[in-house]
Amino acid sequence: MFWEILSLLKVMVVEGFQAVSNGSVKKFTKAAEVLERNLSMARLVTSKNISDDDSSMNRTKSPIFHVPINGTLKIHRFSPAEFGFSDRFGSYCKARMGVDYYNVLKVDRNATDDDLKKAYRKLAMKWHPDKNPNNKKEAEANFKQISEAYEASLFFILFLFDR
Amino acid sequence: MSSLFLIGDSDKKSSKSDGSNIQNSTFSKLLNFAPPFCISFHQFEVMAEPAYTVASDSETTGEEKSSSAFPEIAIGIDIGTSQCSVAIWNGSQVELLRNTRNQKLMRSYVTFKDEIPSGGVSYQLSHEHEMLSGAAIFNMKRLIGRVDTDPVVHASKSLPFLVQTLDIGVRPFIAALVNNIWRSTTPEEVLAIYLVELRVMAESRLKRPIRNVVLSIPVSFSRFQLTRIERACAMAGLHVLRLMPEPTAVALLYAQQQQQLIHDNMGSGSEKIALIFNMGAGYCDVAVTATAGGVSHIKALTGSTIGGEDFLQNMMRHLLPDYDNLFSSRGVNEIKSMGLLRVATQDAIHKLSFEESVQIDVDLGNGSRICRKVNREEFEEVNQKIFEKCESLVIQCLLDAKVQADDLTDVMVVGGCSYIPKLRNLVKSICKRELYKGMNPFEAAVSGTALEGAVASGISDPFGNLDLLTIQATPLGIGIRANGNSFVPIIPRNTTMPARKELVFTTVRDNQTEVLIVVYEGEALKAEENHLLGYFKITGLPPAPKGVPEINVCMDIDASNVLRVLAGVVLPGSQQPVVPVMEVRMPTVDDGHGWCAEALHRAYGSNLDLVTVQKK
Repeated sequence: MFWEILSLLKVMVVEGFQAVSNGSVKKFTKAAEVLERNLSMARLVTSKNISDDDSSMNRTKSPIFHVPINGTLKIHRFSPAEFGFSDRFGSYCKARMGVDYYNVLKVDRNATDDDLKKAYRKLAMKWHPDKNPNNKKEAEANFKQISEAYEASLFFILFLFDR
Repeated sequence: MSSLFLIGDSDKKSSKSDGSNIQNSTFSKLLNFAPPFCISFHQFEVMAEPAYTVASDSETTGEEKSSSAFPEIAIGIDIGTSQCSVAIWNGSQVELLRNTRNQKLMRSYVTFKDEIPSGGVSYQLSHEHEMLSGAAIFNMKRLIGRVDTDPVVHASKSLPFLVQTLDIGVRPFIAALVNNIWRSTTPEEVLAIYLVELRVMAESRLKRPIRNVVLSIPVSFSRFQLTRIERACAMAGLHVLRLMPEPTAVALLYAQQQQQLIHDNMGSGSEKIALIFNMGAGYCDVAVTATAGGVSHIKALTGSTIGGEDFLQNMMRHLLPDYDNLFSSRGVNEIKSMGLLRVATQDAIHKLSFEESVQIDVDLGNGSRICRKVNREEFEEVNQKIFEKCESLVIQCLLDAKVQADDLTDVMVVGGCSYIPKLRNLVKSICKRELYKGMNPFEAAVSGTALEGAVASGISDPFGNLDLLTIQATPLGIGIRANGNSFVPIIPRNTTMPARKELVFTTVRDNQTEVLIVVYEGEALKAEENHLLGYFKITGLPPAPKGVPEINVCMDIDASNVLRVLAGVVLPGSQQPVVPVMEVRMPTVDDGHGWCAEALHRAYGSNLDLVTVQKK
């Protein structure tokens, strides 16, 4: 199933990349969204937040747009801190969901994967409805928010491909 | 925003806590059994709670009871396809309860001998073959909540009782042979009878009434099947506090063991990733969990309806190639022969886990006799497909969890099939690890449910042994039919629960005034290949060109694992919904939903269709 989805998306993403290089971000965003829907844990660095400022398109030499030679699609995941993109990512999420995920998880913007995991577990212990039998509604709402923030903050999926 | 409750919470208050048993005519059949039950219960000398009659099923789930001054510890029950067990947190550790015959693991079956049903908890079979006389119903966990077009139901036709299908998407005809008359029953009824026995057993051991339970369930169960399990529990007077996928129960036990190690200064506090492979008689499940600080975070779940029963059926057909022909009719003699073959084959498979080859010698009584040697390679070859499926489940689960074999700290193989050498080897080779030795493979799941029972009942332990938490994930995607006949997931599988997700759709026709929201659960790309959970219409859409109205479909899974689907419509330029938001609790379907899905398709075609809209 996983590979079926991937093979399905391969075309879309490649198409999307060409679209990006033509200056149109629309197609790429769409492909990214389809992916995002299918791979629940994944939050993509879509072209949208790359091109927040136009100059970012010139950064294709940075790890994000590294292009391997053989033309196959590869996935790489990394934490925001690893590439120093945490600030950009934070603002992306904020713009998208209207929520500052780092604030929800009570970590600073340089948090590592381990920091995020620890923060999530701590907050889960505090707010999971199982731990709040007398305060279910509030706990549930908080827990949903924490989980979303955690999922969003931990993983990036990065597509590396040749044209 | 105003919400309209279609499936109201109005019946929640119907009393389950005060023991007054509401009798529902639908269940009169089962109620008929109450008197003999009550009589047989006297041997246990259970206290006060008088009638073990069957409660209404109207209150299947819903909110948990308000906590009383003394929280009642929920018991954990592992309902296996072939064996069941019960465990409880006894104040310092998990304890498995024994029946009057001193068994911790009890055979899962109910015999309808002489019209008085009795199950494997209290009843001692005079001989193994008695279970195969046609009067005993077993494998109910495989049959529950399935329609008669389901391949699993078809495979169950080879069981030594009656399973007949019309292949039209209704409930299969299941019956036990009692005094040469077929007496029809349902998996829910059989399970309820069995659960009543378990409950009586637990009450006599614990000297208190039992109300709350945590049950383990297969990963691949649909939400519809869960409602059947809940119904069976309600019929047995039990309230379901949690339904836990089996490997997640094992994961909780693992989390507790890791905490214990830290207390004993033997473990490290760092995160441990574990893979749990659980295969019983009916189902095979895999989970990947990330554990630290007593929190078991389920990363991914995969499961399938394959198990020991399939090994057995493949072997029986291997030993007797004419199997289906010989047993196409279902007389007393055929059932007896089938039973004899079943017992002999089962024995042989068990022995093959420890021996290289085994001699089978069985007289089927119909003139044919099987006398031959079977070796382990033969068994592995006959079941090649099952092993391949197991392999793919493990690989899929690792992929879904975004974990590589090298990331794993521990690997567990548990369940009734866990001693099959080929299975152990295939899990070991994929995970590149030796297997974890710290748990009893037959008791791990029930122990986990007992821990969850204590945690979810709000019990704390002075030594911190219950500072545990399971963060569950959805085993199957949930979505709706849209874009023609596609399944569009809204909550993808392996989403952390509780969860809330939404997606925007729009109309496919100009001036479309109604849309049909059909909710499915599963992984297939085509809508109808998934499990139908329910459907509802949104009516009264104002006339607008196609693609203009924004139909927002939101799905919410709450802390009690209740799924609600909300749908609202807005026109561009307005923030106000143009029709009242519909909020529907799912599943809404009842038995015969297979037939219903097809009728729905035929009647409406694509008239009320939806398409996805790109998020902005």
